[in-house]
Amino acid sequence: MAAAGLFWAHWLAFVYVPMEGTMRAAQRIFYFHLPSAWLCYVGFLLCAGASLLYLLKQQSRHDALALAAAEVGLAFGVIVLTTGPLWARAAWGVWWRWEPRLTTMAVLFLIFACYWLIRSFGGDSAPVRKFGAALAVLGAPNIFFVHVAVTRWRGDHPNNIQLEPSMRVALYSTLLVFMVVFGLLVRLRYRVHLEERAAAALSRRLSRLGA
Amino acid sequence: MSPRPLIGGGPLWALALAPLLALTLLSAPAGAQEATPAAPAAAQGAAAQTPATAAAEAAREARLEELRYQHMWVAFGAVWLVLFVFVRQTYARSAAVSARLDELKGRLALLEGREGREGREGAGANGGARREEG
Repeated sequence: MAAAGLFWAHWLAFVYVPMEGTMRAAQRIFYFHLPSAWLCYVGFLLCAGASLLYLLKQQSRHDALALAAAEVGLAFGVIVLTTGPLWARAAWGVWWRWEPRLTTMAVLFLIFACYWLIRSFGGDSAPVRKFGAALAVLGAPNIFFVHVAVTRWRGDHPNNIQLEPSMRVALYSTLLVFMVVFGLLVRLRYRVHLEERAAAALSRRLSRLGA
Repeated sequence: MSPRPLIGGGPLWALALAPLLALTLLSAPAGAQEATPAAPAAAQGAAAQTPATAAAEAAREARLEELRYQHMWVAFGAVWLVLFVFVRQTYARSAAVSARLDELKGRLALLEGREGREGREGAGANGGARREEG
């Protein structure tokens, strides 16, 4: 269903929506760039929320959910940071500008990339989990700065774009499809992390039994 | 669970760093302003355009149009690539951990079965000894 939704979203972005006058074909990147950015925020917020729960309740499933959400958020972050410069080059003539929205987004991405690196390569002990959870909780407020960067610091990044009705249909449809994909990926990843923990626990039990 | 090695940590690792490296290498210094490709060449004035400048303008616009399409296709390719790599990596990890879980459960069942048998045999031997004593 998610794959069919992705094809439908592509049809909307390529065929249904009329060509934009100024940026022409490059504007179509927008229909995937913006939903990816929103879902990147959702992933990081979910990670921070689950991390906070883990710090409060010390339950492994909250930590597994936090890690799964961060991984999916990072995948959408990679999409944002790849499609953004491609769009910027076609629209502004440069790949990147150190303007507030882009810079804060890069910082946010790096914070959660650090979280992922620590969690992936630092082992799965309780102190590492707690350290990662604290990093996610302290890093998530940066989403607020990314959001207000354009208005507070007068950046060049487009903000509150007025869209034609057909463009709005394509944007929200793509967002809906991406939300489904996001939910599926988080669920899949969460299950993998839970199974990995079950396997690790079973392995410890077997070594205690001397097998 | 033991820490995973840094190298061979999955394609997401490379995917996460590649755009940032590319951005750092290709980014313009702060304040640099290039003419935007989308900006019209209206400054020259339509009246001042000779056929030669009009042809050059048309060629420039054609190049820009080609660039816009190229970027659009590369961007959509990147979206698909990231999603495909992520889903593939997740399924591969899921399959590996499921196989490991099955193997561990099998070993545990075997061990518990053996211990149960030994326990029953031990209990049976003790019972026989008690009967002989009686």
